[in-house]
Amino acid sequence: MTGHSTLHAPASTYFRSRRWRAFLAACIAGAISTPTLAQQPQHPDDDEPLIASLITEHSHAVPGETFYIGVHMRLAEDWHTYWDGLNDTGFAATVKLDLPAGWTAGEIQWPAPERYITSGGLGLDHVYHRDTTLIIPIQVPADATVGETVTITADAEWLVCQDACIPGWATLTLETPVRAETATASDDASLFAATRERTPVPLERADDERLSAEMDGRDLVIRARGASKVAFYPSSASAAPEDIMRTGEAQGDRLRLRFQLEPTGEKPVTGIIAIFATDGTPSWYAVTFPHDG
Amino acid sequence: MSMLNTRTLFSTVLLGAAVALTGVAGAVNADHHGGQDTARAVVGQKAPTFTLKDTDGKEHDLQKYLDDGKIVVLEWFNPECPFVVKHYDLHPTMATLNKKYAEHDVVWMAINSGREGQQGAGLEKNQQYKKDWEISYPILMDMSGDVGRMYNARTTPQMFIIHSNGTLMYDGAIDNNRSPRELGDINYVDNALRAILAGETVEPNTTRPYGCSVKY
Repeated sequence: MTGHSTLHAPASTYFRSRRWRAFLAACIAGAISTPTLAQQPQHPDDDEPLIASLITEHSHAVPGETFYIGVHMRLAEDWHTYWDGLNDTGFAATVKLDLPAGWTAGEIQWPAPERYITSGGLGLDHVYHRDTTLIIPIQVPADATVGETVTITADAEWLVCQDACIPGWATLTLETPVRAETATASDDASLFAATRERTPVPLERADDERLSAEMDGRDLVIRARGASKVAFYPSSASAAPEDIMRTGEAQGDRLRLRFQLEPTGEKPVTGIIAIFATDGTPSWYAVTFPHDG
Repeated sequence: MSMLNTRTLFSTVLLGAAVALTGVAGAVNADHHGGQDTARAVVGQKAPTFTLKDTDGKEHDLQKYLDDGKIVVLEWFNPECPFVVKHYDLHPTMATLNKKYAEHDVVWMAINSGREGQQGAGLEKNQQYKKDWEISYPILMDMSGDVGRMYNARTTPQMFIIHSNGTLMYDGAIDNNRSPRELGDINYVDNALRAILAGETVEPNTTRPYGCSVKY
């Protein structure tokens, strides 16, 4: 089993001002009888709404292969974190990795979020209301030394919100052996599998003739025969929709979403298509329409 | 004009909504726009004017500042929002910028559109933060949220800059780093103020603001 340890910075260390501490204390009053902030709570609660750890999918790393790690974020009830897409408020988690020489990291594989109208109703965010694993593929060099144990460090930073928001961060580390034999599933492998089920697949791989998406001038038109609801979640790199809050999702089997595409603009239309079956079950597809201006 | 004392609103529990509505009508003065009470802030157009009281009960009339030839910076504010804390407690962004431009006829005003009871809202709390953070400019109390909605203020912080000729010159973020801790390498408000004072075009004049939602 791959060991993992967690070093969690209590949110209160962030706020040097007395007022902030008083506010936080008011928030947690009643939730805990003896506040021992140095001690890491076992479960996230209103005091520590998010607990992060660094996990691996497999028992060990194999030279020349991809080794999947994940920043697993356990969330207290009624709190949310942010997707790395087009949001009006909030802040998506960031992860800075410190890897052994020659090891390289790919991009975070973000699972699909949910739409969330901000308090006050003027903004729209894409968020996670559940425990989330941010999976990161690590390429193990072919010449990694078999028999060695390596350390991977992740500096993670996040914002977790209810009505109010609390920023947090942690330096997470794990040690993993490098071995030549085929790796087996770790105790945390099911978290990776569950996250992949929620991660969008490229639309061209959907292979579903009921589903189509195309640009019609400035409009993205999505058709999903048999669907009860269709939505689009724009990536942060995407051109902005004209009104994502009011027109970013539609009941029924189609969605027409107008974008602010300027003739000189270079941004593509890119993001996640969410299709909801009649029983509400969602499925997600990633699409990119390069700007052809 | 029936301008209600903000403190009256606080202490008047029983009168409730009726009083609050009267207060709204007095607090938001859209009359400068020929009676349009649905004025909206649009970059390049005339900024909607208003009158609000600050945490000391002093009245601030946007139009008066403009008539006096001032450039006005409006900063949507919530002292308990981490992104506001970033620019006050972690970095002196707002204080530094305000100081830099104070001698150039630039008036800086923070506006809190949080509803009483919401995070960072309420007169006493804002009076306290003004003292704790040594904020030299006024914090205007917009507890009805009317001015916030008029400006479509979605986040704290969200920044607006109004030229002395009344035109809205900038609407957006304070800088280009959406982190609750780290500063960006471009401060949009600094850029815009420098451009306006030099008579140059503000570029960009609109950015995506970031922060907490305004607690209407």
